[in-house]
Amino acid sequence: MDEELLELKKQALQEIANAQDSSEIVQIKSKYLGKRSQISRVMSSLKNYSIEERRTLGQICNTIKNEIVEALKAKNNQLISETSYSIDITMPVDEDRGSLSPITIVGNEVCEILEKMGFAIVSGPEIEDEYHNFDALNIPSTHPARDMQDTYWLGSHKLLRTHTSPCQVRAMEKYGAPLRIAAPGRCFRNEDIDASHENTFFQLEGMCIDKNISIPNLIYVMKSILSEIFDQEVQVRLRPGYFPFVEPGFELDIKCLICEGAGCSTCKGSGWIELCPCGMIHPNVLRINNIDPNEYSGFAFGIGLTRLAMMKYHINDIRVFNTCNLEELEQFGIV
Amino acid sequence: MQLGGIGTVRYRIERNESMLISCNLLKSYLSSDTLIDWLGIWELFTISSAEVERVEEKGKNTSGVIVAKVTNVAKNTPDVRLNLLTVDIGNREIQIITSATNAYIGMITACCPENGMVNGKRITKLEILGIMSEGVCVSEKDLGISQEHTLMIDLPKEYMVGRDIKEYINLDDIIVEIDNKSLTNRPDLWGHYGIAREIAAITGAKLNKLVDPIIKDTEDSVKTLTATVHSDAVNRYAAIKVSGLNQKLVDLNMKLMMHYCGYECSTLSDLVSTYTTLEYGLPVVVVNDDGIENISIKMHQDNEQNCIELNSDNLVVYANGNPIEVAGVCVLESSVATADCSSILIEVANYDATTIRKSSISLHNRNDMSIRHEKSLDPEMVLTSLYRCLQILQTLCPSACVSSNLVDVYKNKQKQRVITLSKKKLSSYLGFNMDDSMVVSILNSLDMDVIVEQDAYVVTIPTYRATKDIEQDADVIEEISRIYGYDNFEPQPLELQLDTMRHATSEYSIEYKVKEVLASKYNLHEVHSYIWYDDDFLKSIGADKSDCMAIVNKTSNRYIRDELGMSVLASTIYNARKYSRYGVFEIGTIYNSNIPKKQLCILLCDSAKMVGETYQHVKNIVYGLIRNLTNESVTFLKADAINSYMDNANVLNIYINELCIGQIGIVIPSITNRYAKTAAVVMAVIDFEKYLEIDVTSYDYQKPPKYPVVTLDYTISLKKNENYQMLENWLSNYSSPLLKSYNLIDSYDNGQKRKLTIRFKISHSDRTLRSEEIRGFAEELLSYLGRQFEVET
Ligand SMILES: [Zn+2]
Repeated sequence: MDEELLELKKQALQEIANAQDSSEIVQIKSKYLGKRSQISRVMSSLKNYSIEERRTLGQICNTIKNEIVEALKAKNNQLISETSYSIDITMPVDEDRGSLSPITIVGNEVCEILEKMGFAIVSGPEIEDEYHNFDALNIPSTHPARDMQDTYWLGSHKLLRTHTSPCQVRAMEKYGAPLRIAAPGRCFRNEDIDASHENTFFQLEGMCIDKNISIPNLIYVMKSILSEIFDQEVQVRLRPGYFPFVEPGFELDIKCLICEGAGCSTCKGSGWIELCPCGMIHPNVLRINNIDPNEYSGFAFGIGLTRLAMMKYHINDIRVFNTCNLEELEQFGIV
Repeated sequence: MQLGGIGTVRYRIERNESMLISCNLLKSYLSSDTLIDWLGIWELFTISSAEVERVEEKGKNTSGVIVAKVTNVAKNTPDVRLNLLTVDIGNREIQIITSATNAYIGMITACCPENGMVNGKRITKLEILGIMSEGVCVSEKDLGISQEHTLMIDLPKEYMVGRDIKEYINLDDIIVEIDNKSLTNRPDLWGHYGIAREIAAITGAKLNKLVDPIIKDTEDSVKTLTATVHSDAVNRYAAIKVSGLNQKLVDLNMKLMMHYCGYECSTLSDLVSTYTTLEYGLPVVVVNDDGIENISIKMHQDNEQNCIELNSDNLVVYANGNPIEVAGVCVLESSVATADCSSILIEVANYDATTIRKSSISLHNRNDMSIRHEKSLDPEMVLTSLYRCLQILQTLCPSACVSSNLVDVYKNKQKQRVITLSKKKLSSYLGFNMDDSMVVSILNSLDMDVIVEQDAYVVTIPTYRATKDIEQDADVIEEISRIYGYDNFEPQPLELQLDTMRHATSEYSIEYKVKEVLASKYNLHEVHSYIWYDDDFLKSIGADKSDCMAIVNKTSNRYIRDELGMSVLASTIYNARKYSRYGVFEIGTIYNSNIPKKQLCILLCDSAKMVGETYQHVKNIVYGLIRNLTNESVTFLKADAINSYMDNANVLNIYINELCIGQIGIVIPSITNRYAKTAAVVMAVIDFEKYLEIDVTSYDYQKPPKYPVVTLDYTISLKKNENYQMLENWLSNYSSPLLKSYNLIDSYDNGQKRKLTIRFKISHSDRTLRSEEIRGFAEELLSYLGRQFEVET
């Protein structure tokens, strides 16, 4: 009896597999599970067996019945999807995607890192006055940086800001101390444009003022930012650098990521890449902005977003960042 | 009278952006230099003092060059341009064929026999026109002494024949290039002596103290020289006259060293003044003395007739009433000490940095001398430099003697500065407490005296650091920390701070979110257009922006944008030539009557046939952006174009509640058609500040209705003069407690007729609607609609 039933199951499953349309499925179903089917007959004759046999046979019948039901269901689904739609699923994807400026992407990366350290992201105007762009940053009127030829002047002491550093001044005016801010933005210098010079470029200014802010704090923050941006532990070194609004002032280098310090064309053989100016905020700057340098200290840094984006995307022509040419823009993504 | 050309000013051969330092000269100032690795030290110098760009070993490519004596000169070679020389090289005589024409019998020169090397080139025997040449004669250029390459070098008679030339001339040197920029605030590093002092400080080597030389005063009849200063721009001026010069006495070693450092010196006075300039940094100037008796220095007056090329920005030195030099910038041609001049005036001065900078810029003549004067060098070094120049002059040319009294006008005396640095402040900057002994030893190594008090250090700054470099306590902290070594600091995390400033960030976050949505959800490209308008574009569309703010020192594209739409349109429209459809956006600042405004511009370009869809798409994007922030009601109302490039026919104002935040419109086809005949451009310009003001807290949670919602769809046929807005206005006045909402779900336009299908949702808040209630509502609504519109049933 058992073998008979198993043979029956095998036959049923074979017929299901061979079925071509849903009408066949209906026929197979009635043939094997209908009232007149062999399984139904065995089930109804169970009463003629002993209790022991009844249990065994009943179990076998049920298992077989379930298997056939499942197989019918699966085949039916398959038949439906095969017959309902006729589509060309090999068509190419729509490649029309939007893009963010690489500056926005890189800038946001830096901002996110700084936000985690409690920095607020602020902004300042692109047209500045001499006071915010120079005087309040301890850049005296005789300083070469104020030469007519480097700055775009608008008359009546207004100018296109030459760096994002006036955002430091505006933040001190608005928030006082303690203070943690970062300000991404666009800056302008009177330069002839070529592959490595632009008259319009992007920076990010960072500033932290509190009691007992130290040089090691600055090193820590810079190292963290740069390690996250470049997605690896970067080695940094500070060298003396001179900027009127910081003292001590530094040039920050990172160990060349391409040759790891051995020297290559990217780092011009030195093993280091000059990345951003930074330093402890000059006491004069604090004083001008009504913060007591004997109570507070702080650090500030300027990250060249244009430079960073060039490194990240391996772009060697700075003009790309001010292009509105879709052929260029399409290459950038959203992250 | 003319301004001097090249030769009247000391010029670095290559460029003025960096300086070249000779390690041989540095070594002469250090008494324990043998411990210093002169190739390796520069890495440490870079991180503690100033950036070194390049280190080059000189002389290592030249070997086997020996002192030789010409014993015969034969002209009878097959080629008349060549000479056949016989030269004694000590152990034998060899034959050399040369094109040099200055050989004479008995001449002491240098040659390189076979197997020697000249500038990396291995010398071999060579057969020239059938004659064997057994080596080469060497020119000054071959040895790196000057640019002279056509003549054999003429060596002093004392040089012993057969000796290696390196026994006499110091060809082996290490030359270091330092970026001038990194010396901006280190006036003390503009001379070799200062660099040596710095190396002593960072390595612990011992620096030889400066001793003012004793001047041989040999002239019997010392003439009277006077100097008067009529300008505050002169801090100090010193001068002395010397006569009896033989300008030919040029020391080869010194000449070589100057050449390595980038200077060509062909006369004795050139050589000596350049050398002493490079030693102490202060420019030493030599002019021809044609009987100078009185010197005066003053700003040039515009009405002076004597030199038309000068201007009132120039500080001028006059001798006997005639201008001889632009102070700190250049010597006038007529006063240059030439090769035949035997009487000179040596001047060393210290001028106001800004005055010299202005003066040199006004003459378009920024050079090595003016750049040095711009650095505020130490006036205390003026006499030291002058004496040093005299001393070397007299060593090289024993016949030189002082022919006047010394003049020294010292108007603005440089004082030592005393700075008090609190220990607390030092610790706060360093992030740790440094021992008193370490502080003292670092400052002493920099020549600064320290008195240690309970809470502070009292530091005396030497004059050469006090001119503009070290002015207050933070400057002293820099000195301590850089000598301690920035590499030795352990990074320390910032202490956590409560997010007291988080609110300041919200504007930035929203802006970034908007950009992300526009790029990722609507596939638009972010652009940054220039802050100034493009003149060509303005001209092409006949727009006049001369009322805008203008950049004074820019000749074209000088008007600052006062509307973002125009700027984005101008900088992106050319894409329409290549792309049938595209979308871009920018968030940027514009200036309207000098007031900054942040705007968002969205621009979609597609074929003119699709203009309806494009317009609708822009509208949807704007709606979506607002809905991202708030639940406030958004309405679009027909309006007039505020921008000149927009077609007045299809303009909508965008409202949030009652507040108009921007406009949507179509760019005038005649503008678009210049770039693409079949394209249409739809733009939205939004006042981004108003967008940011949207009340984001107005998100109101609304419970979904408890009882089933019934939907009723009705199609309305619009007549030619009717639009959706009219239907909307009519519907908004209809009120029923059952009506929850309605919206447009379909529109159909076959050119003849427009049909709009509106879906009405009704429900009761307390129970399921009964069918008679639904029927009642429908009848009432249809009758209301029918009063104004044609409803299809
Ligand atoms: Zn490298």
